[in-house]
Amino acid sequence: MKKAVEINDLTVFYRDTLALDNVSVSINSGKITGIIGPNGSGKSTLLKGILGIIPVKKGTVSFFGSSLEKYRSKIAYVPQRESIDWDFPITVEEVVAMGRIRPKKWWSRTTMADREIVKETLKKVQLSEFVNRQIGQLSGGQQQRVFLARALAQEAELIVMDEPFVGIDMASQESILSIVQKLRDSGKTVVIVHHDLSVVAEYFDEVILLNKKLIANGPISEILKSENIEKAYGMTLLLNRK
Amino acid sequence: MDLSIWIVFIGTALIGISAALVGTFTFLQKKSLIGDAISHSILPGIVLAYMISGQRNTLILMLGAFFSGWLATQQISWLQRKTKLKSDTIVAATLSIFFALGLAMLSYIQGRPDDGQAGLSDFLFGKIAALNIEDLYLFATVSALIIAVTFFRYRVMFSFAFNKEFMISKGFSLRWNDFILNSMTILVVAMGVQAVGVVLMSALLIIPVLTARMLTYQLRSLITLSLIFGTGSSLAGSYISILGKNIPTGPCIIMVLSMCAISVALLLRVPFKIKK
Amino acid sequence: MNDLLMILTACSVAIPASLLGVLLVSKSLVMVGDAISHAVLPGIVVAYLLSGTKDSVPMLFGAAITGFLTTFLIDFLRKKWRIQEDAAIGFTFTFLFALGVLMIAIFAGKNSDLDQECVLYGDLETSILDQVIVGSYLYGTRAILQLLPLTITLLIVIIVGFKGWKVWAFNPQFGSFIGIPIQAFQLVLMLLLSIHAVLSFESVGVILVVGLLVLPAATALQFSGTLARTFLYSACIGIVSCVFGVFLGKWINISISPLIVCVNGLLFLISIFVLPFKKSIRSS
Repeated sequence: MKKAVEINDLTVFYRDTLALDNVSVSINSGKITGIIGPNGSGKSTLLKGILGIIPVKKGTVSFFGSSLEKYRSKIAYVPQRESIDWDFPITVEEVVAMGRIRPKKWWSRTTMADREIVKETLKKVQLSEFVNRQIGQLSGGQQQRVFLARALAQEAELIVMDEPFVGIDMASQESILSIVQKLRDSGKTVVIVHHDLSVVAEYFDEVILLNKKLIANGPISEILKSENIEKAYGMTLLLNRK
Repeated sequence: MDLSIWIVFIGTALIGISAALVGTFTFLQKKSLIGDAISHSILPGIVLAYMISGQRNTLILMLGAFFSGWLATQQISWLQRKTKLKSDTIVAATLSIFFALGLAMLSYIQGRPDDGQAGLSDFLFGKIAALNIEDLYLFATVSALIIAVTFFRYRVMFSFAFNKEFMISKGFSLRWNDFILNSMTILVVAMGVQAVGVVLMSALLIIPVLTARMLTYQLRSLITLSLIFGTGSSLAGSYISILGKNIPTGPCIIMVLSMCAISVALLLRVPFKIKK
Repeated sequence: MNDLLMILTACSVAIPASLLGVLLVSKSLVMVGDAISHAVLPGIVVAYLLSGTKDSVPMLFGAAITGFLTTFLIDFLRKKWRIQEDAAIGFTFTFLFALGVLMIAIFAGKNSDLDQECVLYGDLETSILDQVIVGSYLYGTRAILQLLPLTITLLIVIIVGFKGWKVWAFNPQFGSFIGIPIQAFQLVLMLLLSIHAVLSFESVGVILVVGLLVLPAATALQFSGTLARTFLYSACIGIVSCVFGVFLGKWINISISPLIVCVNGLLFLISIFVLPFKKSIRSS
């Protein structure tokens, strides 16, 4: 099995507090991998650390054997909902068009070809009629689909999503999951950060359990059986499952 | 109309245009108050440049202003890295240290017998009538630079303002982006203080885009509207201040701007509808 | 004698400022404080024009009203118009300040006590000439006698409501839950802040006030562990800066009030170089 991402000894500090402690794990390509852990367990930190969004204290990461800088153009990142200002004056189309910006061509405008791609991806997530809406005017699920569309517009090989299922309706969840599965079936690698093992877990192929340290990783069927969950969550598992 | 009136109008228009452009992006980045800090912080630079050169030359004063404005932004980011203080505390601390230093230096040169510095206190509230034709060339160059940078970089700056983590994940440099925006802010402020003064310069950055934001959520119309408000009010304000005898330019422009903002707010009456 | 009077006058401005500053810093309200100290200007001018004197009673009313107006306007812009906080603050205080300056320029005339520049940096040197002499005894300057009651009130408010302030600053949700009127605490703070801004603007001007508010508190936070200590250190730093500022100003013969803020700023920068930041007071 080809490794999409290999993480060695990743350690991250937020100022003085340890957020991730020597995490070494790899993510298989062509799979949907869930990174699961309670609140404050460093899931998002792991994503941001491997993508170079926050500085890491120690450790190395490689993508399909090459460095982040070389592989960067093939990664799409879908940030957490809370990090977005929904009153920001930006339209759905402009958000998706962000996926077409390239660092090496920072001066260029959106080309006709880019516009075509934006249109296509919006159709894929069923948001064609909202092109000119301000993003704050959409529902939570629609907003999440806009960000998925941006990731699609990047035409990436590796799609990384931070808590995409928080605060969205069932229909949007289904729609996002079906798109994610299609991506997997066409050979892409998808990594999804999620806070518990309920509901959507069955859609993951593989799971990484995290609580500042790596607790366990492997195919979902094995992980669900083991007592690792208790180790990661303690009592919070029950709370999260409702 | 004679030449000096034209100089005033063209000068104000250039300031209004550049401030509205840069202000749109500092607003989107939620850094409006950094603009305020920068405008207070350039005072020691202006005074120092005057003390060294001994003359009121706009280019030299702007260099001084740029230097101390840049120092202030460096201090802000240094404090953000080094301490756990919240950003409003850091901004206010920087602002007051630099401004106090500037006032102390101002009072030092005012105590000296060679009394050529009366013009310097114009920088506190602005005096557009003091502009001459060389200043105008300088302003035109700076404005052209700002317009060019905005034209080529607006997509990147806009995207950074909306979602910086995404942009970093794509390999854009946050520090470089901040550096460009800060430099543009410092340039605009260094230019604008001649018309509105250090104290009220931040208003020229904030209010046009704030008024435009009430009317639209689309970037293009946001920039267009804030250009209209910024330039129009600067022209109207400086015209009024020339007509009246003892009216300082800065407060006058800001009043016109504020009146625009308030009338837009009242006309719309219904705060903007956000459908959920 | 004059030096002593000058130090006392400066301290009477700096002590309440450094105490108020601690509250502002711990609640991230510094820029609101800055806004208020600018925005009291139209209130002062209107009060001055109506009453014709710089008497403190009408001015206090003017200040209280504009102070409330500022907080109200910022809140209104944020909640009703969904305008981000920094822009709302920036708009409110520049608008009100410009209004004040224009009113001075148009109505106050040239030979009045109010002029635009003194509004900016105040004048500690002339404010000590305003002495209160009863019989043949010197009781102090007017600034001292006006600010002393404010300082005492402030001390009482802080000491009596100490637990409340703590909850207000660090855990407001919990405060509303156990029935502490968080909103009222905020209003009291804003009221005291406006009054302080009015009483001190003649000595230090509207812009330097923010330095006196934020710098001692930020310095004190570098090495104090508890809220009570932060108050104490902040006040001490305020006093030390005043003493140094006055002597420095005498020595190199320049305006004293900016110098006091410069000394404060120097102490702040030194504290960052020298002292490691202890755990924030939240943890105590």
